[in-house]
Amino acid sequence: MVYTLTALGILQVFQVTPVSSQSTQQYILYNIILLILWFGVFPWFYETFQLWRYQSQVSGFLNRLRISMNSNITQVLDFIANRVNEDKRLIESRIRDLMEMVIIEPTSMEPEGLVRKYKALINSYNDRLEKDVSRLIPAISNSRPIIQNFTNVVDVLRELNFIYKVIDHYYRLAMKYKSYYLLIQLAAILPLLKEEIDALNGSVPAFLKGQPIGDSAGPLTIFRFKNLCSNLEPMGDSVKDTYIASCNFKGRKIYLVKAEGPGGTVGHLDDAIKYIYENINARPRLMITIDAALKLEGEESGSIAEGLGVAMGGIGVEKFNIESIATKYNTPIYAILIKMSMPEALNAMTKPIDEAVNKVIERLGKVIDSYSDPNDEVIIVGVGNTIGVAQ
Amino acid sequence: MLINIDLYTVVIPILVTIAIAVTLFYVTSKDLRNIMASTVSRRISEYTTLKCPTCGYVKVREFRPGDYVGKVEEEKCPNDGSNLVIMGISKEASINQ
Ligand SMILES: [Zn+2]
Repeated sequence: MVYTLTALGILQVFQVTPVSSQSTQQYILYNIILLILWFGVFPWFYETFQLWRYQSQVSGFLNRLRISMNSNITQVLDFIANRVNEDKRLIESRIRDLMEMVIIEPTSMEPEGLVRKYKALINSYNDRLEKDVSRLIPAISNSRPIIQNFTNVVDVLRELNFIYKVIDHYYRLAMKYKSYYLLIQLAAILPLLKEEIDALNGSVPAFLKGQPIGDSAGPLTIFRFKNLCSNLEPMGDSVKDTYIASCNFKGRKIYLVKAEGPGGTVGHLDDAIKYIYENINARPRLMITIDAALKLEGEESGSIAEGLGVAMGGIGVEKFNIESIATKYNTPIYAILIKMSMPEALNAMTKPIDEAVNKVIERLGKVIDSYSDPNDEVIIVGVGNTIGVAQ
Repeated sequence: MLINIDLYTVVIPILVTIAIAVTLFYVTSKDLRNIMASTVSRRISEYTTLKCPTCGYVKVREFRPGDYVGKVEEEKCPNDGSNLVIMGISKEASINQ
């Protein structure tokens, strides 16, 4: 009963049943045209619109990325303009060459020794980039911090260039084969990429000026903590680009480890910790790592989280080495994280993070107090890029 | 006349088509505007915090190129005349959307 009524209703809507005096033939003609419109033309319109919508999103994104890359290069050229006499175009082409540099990851088919291979690769990459930069601008080659900062900038440009090329590749593929779903996938990851690109773009002026960034929170904590303890003794240049010092705090012997500033570098923290265990023969009761961590959208910038384990980003080489040493000597590792967004981590340090560093120092005191006894040895590691933070 | 203008068969489909086209265009252009919008556009004030290592006197000033945390400044503390040290460099505005 219901079905017949519905069927009649549909027929009436499409006016298949004659209601006026006109002939049935005319109605059938109308309805064929209508059916083609509704089921053939409109969906096709819709799909075309959608395709156009996603396509314009992705191509707009690529355009924006290209513009921002060019503006970054202009900033870099402006920065070195008053230091170099050479032709700007020549320098630009050399910077673009550096941006194209590829790093080939070691094969992981046989994972034995992979971490050491990664470490060697990263070290040679950093050395090579630093040498290239000092050759590019001989005028700054006597100032290590400026070279390091500039190396960071080149690294950022290289990453932006890589993102651009990959997105462009998939966009072109999608357009070549009119692949609707490839385009949708590209459009779907744009917000995530946008976050990363904003972060990278914002970091260029901070690196050029040598300002502390959000990621410098770890080293900054060590710098400020240093002022609270007594009998500070720096331990020389035993590990490249890394600062090690010992001091006294509430009767404990504290080893402070951070990258050596104020040039932008992350140092070799694992080597420093190995040095403390194996060359100084320290047997710490506790190791505390402090690092900036990516916050989730719902979390507040500058909020602090505590936990266990090595707080450290990157591809994990240094983390692996530190974990190995700590496991060998049975040292518990305590982590203090300062939460921030990706743009905050790579941009000039904001006030909430600066304030969070002071809170972390208070917590450090409490952690040392409650998890170690007087005369114990404690290692505190400030993880992160130490740009703009000396020791 | 074969086709006369009828409300249901002609006027409404055309109106609906126009409405869909306008809506889609609006949505698409809004997408584009969202994607193109840059997040970092506000004026940012960067400042440097100086502190006297002996008495704890604190002074805040604008960031100058060449500043870094730990740098011992030429400037003297008004209380005891020791050189001020840079303790922090940060900026006011948050770049979060
Ligand atoms: Zn003073």
